[in-house]
Amino acid sequence: MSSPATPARPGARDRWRRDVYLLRFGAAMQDHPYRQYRRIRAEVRASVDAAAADVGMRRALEDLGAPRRLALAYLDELDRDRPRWTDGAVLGAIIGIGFPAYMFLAYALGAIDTLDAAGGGSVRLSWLGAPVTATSDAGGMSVDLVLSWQGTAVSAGLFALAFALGARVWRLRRH
Amino acid sequence: MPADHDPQMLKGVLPLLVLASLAHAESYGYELVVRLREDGLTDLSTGTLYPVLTRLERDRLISSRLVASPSGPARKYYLPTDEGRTALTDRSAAWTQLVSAARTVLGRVPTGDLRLTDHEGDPR
Repeated sequence: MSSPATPARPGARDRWRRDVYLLRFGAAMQDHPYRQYRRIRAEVRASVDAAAADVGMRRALEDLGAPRRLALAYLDELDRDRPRWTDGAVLGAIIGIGFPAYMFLAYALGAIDTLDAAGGGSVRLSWLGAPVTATSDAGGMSVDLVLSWQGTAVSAGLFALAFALGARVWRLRRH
Repeated sequence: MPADHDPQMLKGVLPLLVLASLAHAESYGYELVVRLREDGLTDLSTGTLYPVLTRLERDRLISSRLVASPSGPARKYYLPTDEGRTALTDRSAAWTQLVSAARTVLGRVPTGDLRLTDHEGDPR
Protein backbone atom coordinates (compact mmCIF):
# COMPACT_ATOMS: atom_id res chain seq x y z
CA MET A 1 0.00 0.00 0.00
CA SER A 2 1.39 3.36 -0.98
CA SER A 3 1.12 6.57 0.94
CA PRO A 4 -1.40 9.14 -0.33
CA ALA A 5 1.45 11.39 -1.45
CA THR A 6 2.87 8.81 -3.84
CA PRO A 7 0.33 7.10 -6.09
CA ALA A 8 1.14 3.44 -6.65
CA ARG A 9 2.52 2.53 -10.06
CA PRO A 10 2.38 -1.10 -11.22
CA GLY A 11 5.67 -2.92 -10.72
CA ALA A 12 7.73 -4.22 -13.65
CA ARG A 13 6.20 -7.71 -13.47
CA ASP A 14 2.65 -6.34 -13.34
CA ARG A 15 3.35 -3.97 -16.22
CA TRP A 16 4.71 -6.91 -18.24
CA ARG A 17 1.59 -8.96 -17.45
CA ARG A 18 -0.66 -6.07 -18.46
CA ASP A 19 1.28 -5.39 -21.66
CA VAL A 20 1.18 -9.04 -22.72
CA TYR A 21 -2.57 -9.01 -22.13
CA LEU A 22 -2.91 -5.82 -24.21
CA LEU A 23 -0.78 -7.34 -26.97
CA ARG A 24 -3.10 -10.35 -27.20
CA PHE A 25 -6.10 -8.02 -27.00
CA GLY A 26 -4.67 -5.97 -29.89
CA ALA A 27 -4.20 -9.07 -32.03
CA ALA A 28 -7.85 -9.99 -31.48
CA MET A 29 -9.00 -6.42 -32.24
CA GLN A 30 -7.69 -6.29 -35.81
CA ASP A 31 -11.23 -5.92 -37.19
CA HIS A 32 -11.76 -2.77 -35.19
CA PRO A 33 -11.22 0.66 -36.82
CA TYR A 34 -7.69 1.59 -35.78
CA ARG A 35 -8.37 5.03 -34.34
CA GLN A 36 -11.19 3.74 -32.14
CA TYR A 37 -9.07 0.73 -31.17
CA ARG A 38 -6.24 2.97 -29.96
CA ARG A 39 -8.67 4.88 -27.74
CA ILE A 40 -10.21 1.66 -26.42
CA ARG A 41 -6.78 0.20 -25.74
CA ALA A 42 -5.79 3.30 -23.75
CA GLU A 43 -9.06 3.08 -21.80
CA VAL A 44 -8.62 -0.62 -21.05
CA ARG A 45 -5.07 0.01 -19.95
CA ALA A 46 -6.12 2.88 -17.64
CA SER A 47 -9.02 0.83 -16.26
CA VAL A 48 -6.76 -2.15 -15.59
CA ASP A 49 -4.26 0.07 -13.77
CA ALA A 50 -7.06 1.62 -11.71
CA ALA A 51 -8.53 -1.79 -10.86
CA ALA A 52 -5.05 -3.12 -10.07
CA ALA A 53 -4.66 -0.36 -7.47
CA ASP A 54 -7.80 -1.77 -5.79
CA VAL A 55 -7.33 -5.54 -6.12
CA GLY A 56 -3.92 -6.20 -7.67
CA MET A 57 -2.93 -6.75 -11.30
CA ARG A 58 -3.56 -10.50 -11.34
CA ARG A 59 -7.15 -10.11 -10.14
CA ALA A 60 -7.75 -7.09 -12.40
CA LEU A 61 -6.72 -9.11 -15.47
CA GLU A 62 -8.66 -12.19 -14.35
CA ASP A 63 -11.78 -10.04 -14.03
CA LEU A 64 -11.35 -8.83 -17.59
CA GLY A 65 -11.47 -12.39 -18.91
CA ALA A 66 -9.65 -13.72 -21.96
CA PRO A 67 -8.33 -10.98 -24.30
CA ARG A 68 -10.14 -12.58 -27.24
CA ARG A 69 -13.47 -12.54 -25.42
CA LEU A 70 -12.99 -8.91 -24.43
CA ALA A 71 -12.21 -8.07 -28.06
CA LEU A 72 -15.34 -9.91 -29.21
CA ALA A 73 -17.40 -7.85 -26.76
CA TYR A 74 -16.00 -4.63 -28.29
CA LEU A 75 -16.47 -5.95 -31.83
CA ASP A 76 -20.09 -6.73 -30.95
CA GLU A 77 -20.60 -3.01 -30.39
CA LEU A 78 -19.65 -2.19 -33.99
CA ASP A 79 -22.43 -1.45 -36.44
CA ARG A 80 -20.94 -3.79 -39.07
CA ASP A 81 -18.10 -6.19 -39.84
CA ARG A 82 -14.74 -4.67 -40.75
CA PRO A 83 -11.92 -5.92 -43.00
CA ARG A 84 -9.24 -8.07 -41.34
CA TRP A 85 -6.06 -6.46 -42.67
CA THR A 86 -3.68 -8.65 -40.68
CA ASP A 87 -5.27 -11.85 -41.95
CA GLY A 88 -5.05 -10.43 -45.47
CA ALA A 89 -1.36 -9.58 -45.13
CA VAL A 90 -0.51 -13.04 -43.75
CA LEU A 91 -2.47 -14.89 -46.43
CA GLY A 92 -1.05 -12.57 -49.12
CA ALA A 93 2.51 -13.29 -47.98
CA ILE A 94 1.90 -17.06 -47.95
CA ILE A 95 0.16 -17.23 -51.34
CA GLY A 96 1.86 -14.33 -53.14
CA ILE A 97 5.45 -14.75 -51.88
CA GLY A 98 5.85 -18.09 -50.10
CA PHE A 99 4.03 -20.20 -52.69
CA PRO A 100 5.92 -18.84 -55.79
CA ALA A 101 9.21 -19.15 -53.87
CA TYR A 102 8.40 -22.78 -53.02
CA MET A 103 7.44 -23.54 -56.63
CA PHE A 104 10.66 -21.95 -57.94
CA LEU A 105 12.72 -23.96 -55.45
CA ALA A 106 11.00 -27.18 -56.53
CA TYR A 107 11.59 -26.28 -60.20
CA ALA A 108 15.27 -25.46 -59.62
CA LEU A 109 15.94 -28.61 -57.58
CA GLY A 110 14.20 -30.68 -60.26
CA ALA A 111 16.45 -29.13 -62.91
CA ILE A 112 19.56 -29.88 -60.85
CA ASP A 113 18.39 -33.49 -60.29
CA THR A 114 17.95 -33.88 -64.04
CA LEU A 115 21.44 -32.43 -64.67
CA ASP A 116 22.91 -34.86 -62.10
CA ALA A 117 21.19 -37.79 -63.83
CA ALA A 118 22.63 -36.60 -67.16
CA GLY A 119 26.15 -36.45 -65.73
CA GLY A 120 26.25 -32.80 -64.67
CA GLY A 121 26.67 -29.54 -66.56
CA SER A 122 24.81 -26.30 -66.93
CA VAL A 123 21.45 -25.47 -68.51
CA ARG A 124 19.59 -22.25 -69.29
CA LEU A 125 15.88 -22.39 -68.57
CA SER A 126 12.99 -20.00 -68.17
CA TRP A 127 10.61 -19.86 -65.22
CA LEU A 128 7.63 -17.51 -65.47
CA GLY A 129 9.57 -15.57 -68.10
CA ALA A 130 12.63 -15.24 -65.87
CA PRO A 131 15.97 -16.57 -67.20
CA VAL A 132 17.25 -19.36 -64.90
CA THR A 133 20.70 -20.93 -65.14
CA ALA A 134 21.04 -24.23 -63.25
CA THR A 135 24.53 -25.67 -62.80
CA SER A 136 25.60 -28.98 -61.26
CA ASP A 137 29.17 -30.21 -61.48
CA ALA A 138 32.04 -31.41 -59.31
CA GLY A 139 32.33 -27.88 -57.85
CA GLY A 140 28.80 -28.01 -56.50
CA MET A 141 25.42 -26.78 -57.58
CA SER A 142 23.99 -23.30 -58.20
CA VAL A 143 20.89 -21.63 -59.54
CA ASP A 144 20.96 -18.09 -60.99
CA LEU A 145 17.67 -16.24 -61.43
CA VAL A 146 17.00 -12.84 -62.96
CA LEU A 147 13.63 -11.41 -61.93
CA SER A 148 11.20 -10.86 -64.77
CA TRP A 149 8.19 -8.60 -64.92
CA GLN A 150 5.99 -11.63 -65.65
CA GLY A 151 7.10 -13.43 -62.48
CA THR A 152 6.71 -10.25 -60.44
CA ALA A 153 3.24 -9.70 -61.90
CA VAL A 154 2.14 -13.27 -61.09
CA SER A 155 3.47 -12.91 -57.54
CA ALA A 156 1.85 -9.49 -57.10
CA GLY A 157 -1.42 -10.76 -58.56
CA LEU A 158 -1.49 -13.78 -56.24
CA PHE A 159 -0.63 -11.51 -53.30
CA ALA A 160 -3.41 -9.05 -54.17
CA LEU A 161 -6.00 -11.80 -54.61
CA ALA A 162 -5.05 -13.59 -51.39
CA PHE A 163 -4.88 -10.27 -49.53
CA ALA A 164 -8.34 -9.28 -50.73
CA LEU A 165 -9.85 -12.63 -49.79
CA GLY A 166 -8.02 -12.87 -46.46
CA ALA A 167 -8.87 -9.29 -45.49
CA ARG A 168 -12.49 -9.70 -46.67
CA VAL A 169 -12.28 -6.36 -48.50
CA TRP A 170 -15.95 -6.55 -49.46
CA ARG A 171 -16.66 -5.54 -45.85
CA LEU A 172 -15.54 -2.02 -46.82
CA ARG A 173 -18.79 -1.58 -48.68
CA ARG A 174 -21.35 0.30 -46.62
CA HIS A 175 -24.48 -1.73 -45.88
CA MET B 1 -31.81 -16.76 -7.78
CA PRO B 2 -29.38 -18.81 -9.87
CA ALA B 3 -25.68 -18.03 -9.41
CA ASP B 4 -25.08 -17.39 -13.12
CA HIS B 5 -27.10 -15.09 -15.34
CA ASP B 6 -27.95 -15.83 -18.95
CA PRO B 7 -25.35 -13.78 -20.89
CA GLN B 8 -27.86 -12.84 -23.57
CA MET B 9 -30.40 -11.60 -21.02
CA LEU B 10 -27.68 -9.68 -19.20
CA LYS B 11 -26.41 -8.17 -22.44
CA GLY B 12 -29.85 -6.75 -23.17
CA VAL B 13 -30.45 -5.20 -19.79
CA LEU B 14 -26.92 -4.23 -18.71
CA PRO B 15 -26.86 -0.76 -20.37
CA LEU B 16 -30.06 0.09 -18.49
CA LEU B 17 -28.61 -1.14 -15.19
CA VAL B 18 -25.40 0.80 -15.79
CA LEU B 19 -27.34 4.01 -16.49
CA ALA B 20 -29.46 3.45 -13.37
CA SER B 21 -26.45 2.74 -11.20
CA LEU B 22 -24.57 5.79 -12.47
CA ALA B 23 -27.66 7.95 -12.00
CA HIS B 24 -27.54 6.88 -8.35
CA ALA B 25 -23.83 7.63 -7.94
CA GLU B 26 -20.92 8.63 -10.17
CA SER B 27 -18.44 5.74 -10.46
CA TYR B 28 -15.30 4.52 -12.17
CA GLY B 29 -15.28 1.17 -13.98
CA TYR B 30 -14.12 -1.22 -11.30
CA GLU B 31 -16.16 0.46 -8.56
CA LEU B 32 -19.25 0.14 -10.75
CA VAL B 33 -18.62 -3.59 -11.26
CA VAL B 34 -18.29 -4.08 -7.51
CA ARG B 35 -21.53 -2.18 -6.91
CA LEU B 36 -23.47 -4.15 -9.49
CA ARG B 37 -22.09 -7.39 -8.04
CA GLU B 38 -23.28 -6.31 -4.60
CA ASP B 39 -26.68 -5.61 -6.15
CA GLY B 40 -26.95 -9.23 -7.30
CA LEU B 41 -25.04 -9.47 -10.60
CA THR B 42 -22.49 -11.69 -8.87
CA ASP B 43 -20.95 -13.06 -12.07
CA LEU B 44 -20.52 -9.68 -13.80
CA SER B 45 -16.97 -9.14 -15.08
CA THR B 46 -15.14 -5.97 -16.02
CA GLY B 47 -14.71 -7.49 -19.48
CA THR B 48 -18.50 -7.40 -19.88
CA LEU B 49 -18.90 -3.91 -18.45
CA TYR B 50 -16.14 -1.91 -20.19
CA PRO B 51 -17.51 -2.32 -23.75
CA VAL B 52 -20.93 -1.21 -22.48
CA LEU B 53 -19.39 1.92 -20.92
CA THR B 54 -17.59 2.62 -24.20
CA ARG B 55 -20.82 2.31 -26.18
CA LEU B 56 -22.84 4.46 -23.76
CA GLU B 57 -20.16 7.14 -23.93
CA ARG B 58 -20.02 6.90 -27.72
CA ASP B 59 -23.82 7.33 -27.82
CA ARG B 60 -23.44 10.36 -25.49
CA LEU B 61 -25.62 8.77 -22.82
CA ILE B 62 -22.85 9.07 -20.25
CA SER B 63 -19.96 11.48 -19.88
CA SER B 64 -16.66 10.95 -18.13
CA ARG B 65 -14.01 12.91 -16.26
CA LEU B 66 -10.60 11.97 -14.90
CA VAL B 67 -10.20 12.21 -11.16
CA ALA B 68 -6.81 11.93 -9.49
CA SER B 69 -6.52 9.12 -6.97
CA PRO B 70 -4.21 9.07 -3.96
CA SER B 71 -3.81 5.28 -4.20
CA GLY B 72 -3.07 4.81 -7.88
CA PRO B 73 -3.52 6.26 -11.36
CA ALA B 74 -6.21 8.82 -12.22
CA ARG B 75 -9.63 7.22 -12.56
CA LYS B 76 -12.28 7.81 -15.18
CA TYR B 77 -15.57 8.58 -13.46
CA TYR B 78 -18.81 8.22 -15.40
CA LEU B 79 -22.11 10.06 -15.03
CA PRO B 80 -25.29 10.02 -17.16
CA THR B 81 -25.80 13.01 -19.44
CA ASP B 82 -29.22 14.68 -19.77
CA GLU B 83 -29.75 12.50 -22.82
CA GLY B 84 -28.76 9.49 -20.72
CA ARG B 85 -31.26 10.35 -18.00
CA THR B 86 -34.01 10.65 -20.60
CA ALA B 87 -32.98 7.28 -22.05
CA LEU B 88 -32.99 5.82 -18.54
CA THR B 89 -36.59 6.97 -17.98
CA ASP B 90 -37.74 5.60 -21.35
CA ARG B 91 -35.93 2.30 -21.01
CA SER B 92 -37.09 1.80 -17.45
CA ALA B 93 -40.69 2.14 -18.61
CA ALA B 94 -40.06 -0.30 -21.48
CA TRP B 95 -38.40 -2.72 -19.06
CA THR B 96 -41.35 -2.55 -16.65
CA GLN B 97 -43.72 -3.34 -19.51
CA LEU B 98 -41.55 -6.25 -20.61
CA VAL B 99 -41.35 -7.68 -17.10
CA SER B 100 -45.11 -7.38 -16.75
CA ALA B 101 -45.64 -9.28 -20.01
CA ALA B 102 -43.11 -11.92 -18.99
CA ARG B 103 -44.82 -12.35 -15.60
CA THR B 104 -48.16 -12.87 -17.32
CA VAL B 105 -46.74 -15.53 -19.64
CA LEU B 106 -44.67 -17.26 -16.97
CA GLY B 107 -47.61 -17.13 -14.58
CA ARG B 108 -49.46 -19.60 -16.82
CA VAL B 109 -46.73 -22.21 -16.46
CA PRO B 110 -47.93 -24.87 -14.03
CA THR B 111 -45.63 -25.23 -11.04
CA GLY B 112 -44.28 -28.58 -9.93
CA ASP B 113 -44.88 -30.95 -12.84
CA LEU B 114 -43.54 -29.25 -15.98
CA ARG B 115 -43.98 -32.21 -18.35
CA LEU B 116 -45.27 -31.17 -21.76
CA THR B 117 -48.98 -31.47 -22.45
CA ASP B 118 -50.92 -31.14 -25.69
CA HIS B 119 -53.61 -28.53 -26.34
CA GLU B 120 -56.18 -30.67 -24.47
CA GLY B 121 -54.01 -30.97 -21.42
CA ASP B 122 -53.10 -34.63 -22.00
CA PRO B 123 -49.46 -35.68 -21.53
CA ARG B 124 -47.45 -35.86 -24.80
